[in-house]
Amino acid sequence: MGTRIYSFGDGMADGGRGLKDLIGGKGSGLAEMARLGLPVPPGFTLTTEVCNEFNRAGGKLPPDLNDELRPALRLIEARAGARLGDPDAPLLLSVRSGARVSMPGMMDTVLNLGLDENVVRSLARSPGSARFAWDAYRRFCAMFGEVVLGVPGNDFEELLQRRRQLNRAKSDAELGAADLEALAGEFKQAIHARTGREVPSDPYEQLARAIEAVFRSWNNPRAVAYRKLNGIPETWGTAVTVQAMVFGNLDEDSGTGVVFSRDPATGEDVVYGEYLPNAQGEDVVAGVRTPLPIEQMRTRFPDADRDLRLICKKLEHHFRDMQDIEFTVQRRKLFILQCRSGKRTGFAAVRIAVEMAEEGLISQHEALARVEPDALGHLLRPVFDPAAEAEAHHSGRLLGRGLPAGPGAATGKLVLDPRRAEQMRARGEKVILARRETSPEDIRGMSAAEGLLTSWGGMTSHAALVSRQMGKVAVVGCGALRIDDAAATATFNQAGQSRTLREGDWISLDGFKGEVLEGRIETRPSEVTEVLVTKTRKLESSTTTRNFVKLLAWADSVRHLGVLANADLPEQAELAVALGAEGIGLCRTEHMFFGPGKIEPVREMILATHAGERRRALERLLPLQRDDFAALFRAMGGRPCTIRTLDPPLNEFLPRDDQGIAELASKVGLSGEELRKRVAALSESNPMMGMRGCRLGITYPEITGMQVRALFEAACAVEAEGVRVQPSIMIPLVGARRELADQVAVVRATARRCSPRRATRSRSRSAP
Amino acid sequence: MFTEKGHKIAFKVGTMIEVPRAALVAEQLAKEAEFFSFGTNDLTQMTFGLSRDDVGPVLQTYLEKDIYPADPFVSLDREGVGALIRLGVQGGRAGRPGLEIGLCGEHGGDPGSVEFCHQLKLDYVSCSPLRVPVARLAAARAALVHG
Repeated sequence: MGTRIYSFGDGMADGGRGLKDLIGGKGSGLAEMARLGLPVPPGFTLTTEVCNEFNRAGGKLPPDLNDELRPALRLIEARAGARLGDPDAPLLLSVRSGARVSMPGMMDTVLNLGLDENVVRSLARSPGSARFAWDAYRRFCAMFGEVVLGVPGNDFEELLQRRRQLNRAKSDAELGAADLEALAGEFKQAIHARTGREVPSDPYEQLARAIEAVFRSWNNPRAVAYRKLNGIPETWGTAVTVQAMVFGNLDEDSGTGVVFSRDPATGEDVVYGEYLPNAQGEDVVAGVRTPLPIEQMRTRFPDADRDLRLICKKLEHHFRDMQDIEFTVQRRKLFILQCRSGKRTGFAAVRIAVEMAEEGLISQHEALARVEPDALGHLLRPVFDPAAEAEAHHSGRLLGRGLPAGPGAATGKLVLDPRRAEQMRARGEKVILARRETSPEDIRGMSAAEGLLTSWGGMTSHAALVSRQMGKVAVVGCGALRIDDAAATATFNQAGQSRTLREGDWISLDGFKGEVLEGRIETRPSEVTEVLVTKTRKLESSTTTRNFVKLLAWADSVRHLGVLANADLPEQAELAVALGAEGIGLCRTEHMFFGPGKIEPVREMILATHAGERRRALERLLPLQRDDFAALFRAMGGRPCTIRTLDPPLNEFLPRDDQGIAELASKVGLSGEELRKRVAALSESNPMMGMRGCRLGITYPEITGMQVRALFEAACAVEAEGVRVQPSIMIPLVGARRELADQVAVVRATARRCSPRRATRSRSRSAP
Repeated sequence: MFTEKGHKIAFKVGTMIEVPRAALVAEQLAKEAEFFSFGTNDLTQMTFGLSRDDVGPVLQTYLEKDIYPADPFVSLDREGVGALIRLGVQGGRAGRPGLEIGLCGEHGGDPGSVEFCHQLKLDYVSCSPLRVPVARLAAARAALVHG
């Protein structure tokens, strides 16, 4: 058994960033910062190995752990100049989780550990500290009660609320020392009533129970679900960091906050963050008070502000990545409590990676490794007008949050019923479909909507899967949302506030962040699309596009795999080329058959009962198909194009209902009865495994022949215009060598028959 | 095949590999085909015996109960479908050395699947136009990780 405990503080540390697997992200970050000489409160970290020992022993700490715990505590006491349980100079501790990778909010924390009645009374006697002391104590009781003893957090919330009502207080800040003292007593009674147990007054007992509880929280349902979603093995375990507390809620000269060394939304190289004067970290997280932008800290704490900005750069250079930093100012002195690589949007990921590579902080290869490929997809999606979105947040129009299942921004009228979504869409209205959860029968309504919102389900729910397939903006599992179908209303309960929207009210979804906002927020197309595809914006005016283009140029210089596109129509081909496709890897010719004026001859071809009829229909199709191929070849400007011969079952082109059959019958000059017979003859019980792909081409070689002829004639025509053509012909659904040999023979024979004279002749014939 | 100017338009004829049997007899097919392209939508559908158009309710249950680790139509099933692709690549290049091989299913734009294509030494992936940048970056990252 190696060392179980790694201490840090006073410019020294046992561990460092090489030990992330053992002492977790938080532990290694703190150790690293201590070594850098940054102002980190002293502490120590229990390794992930202890967590595994704890779990193997069925939830018991190793019996000899105390032998290591005591000296480590002595070291903190010496470094902090305070002692655990000493009423004159009490050491208060925080106990936090910290896995190898950040699992924000998934595991438990106990703060203000080391307080009991004695200590708190002594603390409260020093001038101006009474309120602070009792506030710290009631928070400790509630956290210990909830995290260690399993009392529902709501019990404490209700008592707190009652106390506020009693005092007609709008917020906790208006409660005085006497109220908080009373509250601590009520909390302790509630704990006893629920569990029959007491909050221990022995600080060592408190610490042992708190460490156990945090280790236990590695296996709470939230953490288990998060691990599963993110592929984190159970065997990693969490480390636990025990650290001297510093207080941002001591007085008006104190505060707490979070900063990012660069803007996590845009990636811009500016310190971005928020802070709250006279507050503890959990106040920032809980959102009960609105934090102030970090820019305002300079006037209040100029020294701490200057130190913080220097530390941001120092940490960023040290870790060579954008940092997310938690800090506390205690009586104007700055302490850093945590640093880690900051989570960021796709936009920020690209900008930070490219700019850091340009600054020489990281290599181009590292820049590529820093950006998740899907983030580039985000850069192609519509976004909110940033000013309008900021205004929506500022004016308190955030209705709730969910999981960002479909990136992009969408705005529209709220609809709760898929059929009404279709109807409103048909009238040209933009709609957002909100459902408890979606099911397959909602598909058409989902397709009609600009965006989808559900109150239930996760990233693998039906709504999430389908929105990804459809490319829809989606926010799923928005817990704040309650839908009342009878009243046709959607109610959002968030942070103690309730807001009800009716069907037809405007609502907006941010599918990047998973936010639901009230009202109409204008969206605008992606800048990258504007520059590269529609060419409506200049490259110089778009930092996003500049970085996008640069990163992909670096990617192209490294990759071995070619990247081609699936494209059936010229506009798709142009889009693909604009986004860097080196050619077309798949053109589904059947998609060309659905265009205007084409479906009729296609149907005639399908319904033909003998070769002559079929040939006549194919002759009508030939020039149409040839023009389509020519347009595609032109759009590809000399790049390779792989064309697949007809693949789907023929009945996909035929009408299914009586009305469609009657209409088609009159067009093709058949009786309804006769047409019905022919359609029935073509129907298959399992069409996906029936007459499709090369089976069609083998049965009706003239279809393959027509397609190949159209292809070569188009290639000749386009080459005559001076554009190179590199065609490939691909045979679908082959399972046997002879199938392929048959179709290859048709292709080669057709190619031989396409002489230049005939090619030009057919071209001039089809020219308008 | 000649144009008016008298020079040839070179063309290739190849096959989709999307029926499991095609992967199994790839060496024979390569005698006829100048290139292969794995159609992984159909190959997944036929390997699992699971209709892509009716997959919704099955998949929801299967993902909830952790029977499949992921939607095989989104992230390529390396174990099963991947084994067929591997066979197809081996057979194809045994039948015709240097055979050009690509993949043209929806998976062509899925980063994990692109990585797998790189590992199998495919020549290219083909994906929907909007996924092209994603595939370019995924291919680069795969090259950095796997060489």
